[in-house]
Amino acid sequence: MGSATRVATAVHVADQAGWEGLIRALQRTHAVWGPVQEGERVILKEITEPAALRVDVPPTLLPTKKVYRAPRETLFQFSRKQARAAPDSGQREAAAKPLALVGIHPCDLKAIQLLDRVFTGFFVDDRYSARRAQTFIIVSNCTTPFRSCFCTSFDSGPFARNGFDLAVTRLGDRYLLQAGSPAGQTFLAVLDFPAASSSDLAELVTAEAGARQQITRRIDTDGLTRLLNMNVDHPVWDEVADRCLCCGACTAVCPTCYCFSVRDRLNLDLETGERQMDWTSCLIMEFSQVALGHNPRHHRVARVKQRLYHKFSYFNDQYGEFGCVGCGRCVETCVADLDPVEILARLR
Amino acid sequence: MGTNGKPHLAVYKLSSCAGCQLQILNLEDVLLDIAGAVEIAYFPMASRRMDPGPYDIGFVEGAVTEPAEIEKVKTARQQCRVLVALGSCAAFGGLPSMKNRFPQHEVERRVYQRPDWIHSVAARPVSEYVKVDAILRGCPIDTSEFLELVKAVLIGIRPRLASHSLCLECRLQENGCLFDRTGCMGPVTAAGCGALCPGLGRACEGCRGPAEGANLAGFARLLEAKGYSRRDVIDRFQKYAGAEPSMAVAATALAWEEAHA
Repeated sequence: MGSATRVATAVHVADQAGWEGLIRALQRTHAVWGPVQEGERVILKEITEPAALRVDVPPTLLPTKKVYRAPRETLFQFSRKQARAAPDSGQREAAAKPLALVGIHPCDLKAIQLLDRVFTGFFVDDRYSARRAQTFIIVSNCTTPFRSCFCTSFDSGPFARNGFDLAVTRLGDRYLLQAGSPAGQTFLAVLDFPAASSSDLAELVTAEAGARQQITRRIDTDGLTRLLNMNVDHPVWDEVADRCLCCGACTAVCPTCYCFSVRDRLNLDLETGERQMDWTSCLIMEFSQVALGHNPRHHRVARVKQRLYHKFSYFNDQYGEFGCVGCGRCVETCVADLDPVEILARLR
Repeated sequence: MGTNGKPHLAVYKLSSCAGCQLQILNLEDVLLDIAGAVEIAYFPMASRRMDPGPYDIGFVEGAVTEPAEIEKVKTARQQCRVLVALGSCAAFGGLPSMKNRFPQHEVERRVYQRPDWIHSVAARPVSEYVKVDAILRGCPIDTSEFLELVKAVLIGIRPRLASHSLCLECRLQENGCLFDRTGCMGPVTAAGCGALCPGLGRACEGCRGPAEGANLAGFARLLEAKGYSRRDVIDRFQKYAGAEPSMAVAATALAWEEAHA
């Protein structure tokens, strides 16, 4: 795991072959996951061929949360009569190769840091923290932001500040590399790439400023939580609820949405089975339904508000930060073209 | 409960293509396990053996489209402790319910040379005539949902069947979104099929009926904004679940608006 503070290190330069060599070196000790282009889709998946890993593609369809908590996971096997559960499968994970996330965007890195607060804070999720603790992260700074991005609103991009082992910035055919942790520093030292020239460094500064300038979409976070809390009955919510299909797509692709449900799946012997965990969504009816059928969020407007208030108000109350990183996935995925940037601007 | 202590299972057929019954038989890998857990007492498509009722769990496939079927479904209700509508025809009227928007005599004339031989009524879901304890959505049903339901009945708990939008299931499988290109019905259609069609690059046609609390009005406006005609939208709404109350209301409202525009 990258340390919280940035380690000041020199910038090194690799060419395409050097970059692929770096990934190959990492593959010896880690299962390397990164963005891969498959037709029109960009998928985060385990890399076999280093050339397949892309650092210049739009955000992956599903964000990094899926490597820490798959959309469906088995928690344990059980037997009803013996009231016995097989050992937590998290122990099996520990034996597997540690994970390396390569080429993730700075916004997704920030999202991991937010999920850390949820799953390794007051309540510690053993499965999450076991996977997370051994992750080696190479963040890819964004020199060309994408159309829905608004990361600058939450200081989660376009360049990463901390929380990574290595940062890579692609400038044409050069990969500029900088360590962000002792582990990253050690790894980089072994590879022995040449140091960046002063013109490389100048280009790096220009690239960040250029990327920043291109991100024009913005959520004004100044007093946002208070503004939301003052406007629970604002007419914009009914307008959003008229358009929102409550399909839950935005929550599936959101890198900070972490809600899950748990169910037991019995085998046909009606005796043994397994307990599973599935990602779920506050936008679906079932989410808030309680025994005997009552649902405090029966109306669509209540579910719509729950999603946005959690990101921009409740998460802030609980963790002192907003629960949004501005990756733009919800905007890209919404068939009804709903956009939190536009919705929140209406409150101003 | 049969003499051997195993719960008795029955499968009835009304107006349908038998595809949902076939799905049960397609469970080859676990069919013997099912036969181990229940006595398949009445399943004419699968076996000549037909034990008389009562049965512990009954599945009714197909829409109710003729007077004889009304009687049949009432008998099924009397014979079964738990009665399940098997598939979208039984649950919502299904494809046969497309005919409901036309006068019955027109439909009969279009299909049959001698309409006077036909004794057909509007295609309705089983729940129109008798109380239904559960529905299994889909055209055809999903086999794992069938198993989930059987197991839940056997141990006496409420089955957990998805009723939320297909989009959630589809996004989790990392399918590319087909909506902009195809007007995919996924956003308002119930999940539980494993996003079978979108996973193969085909738009959802809504065979599993509306998701719980689906925003049909918002979806209709969205489709029209994307350039689909009012007629297209109504056709989509009435294809598989036109007789389902929320779909029926939405389609009727759209048609009324069109007629009075």
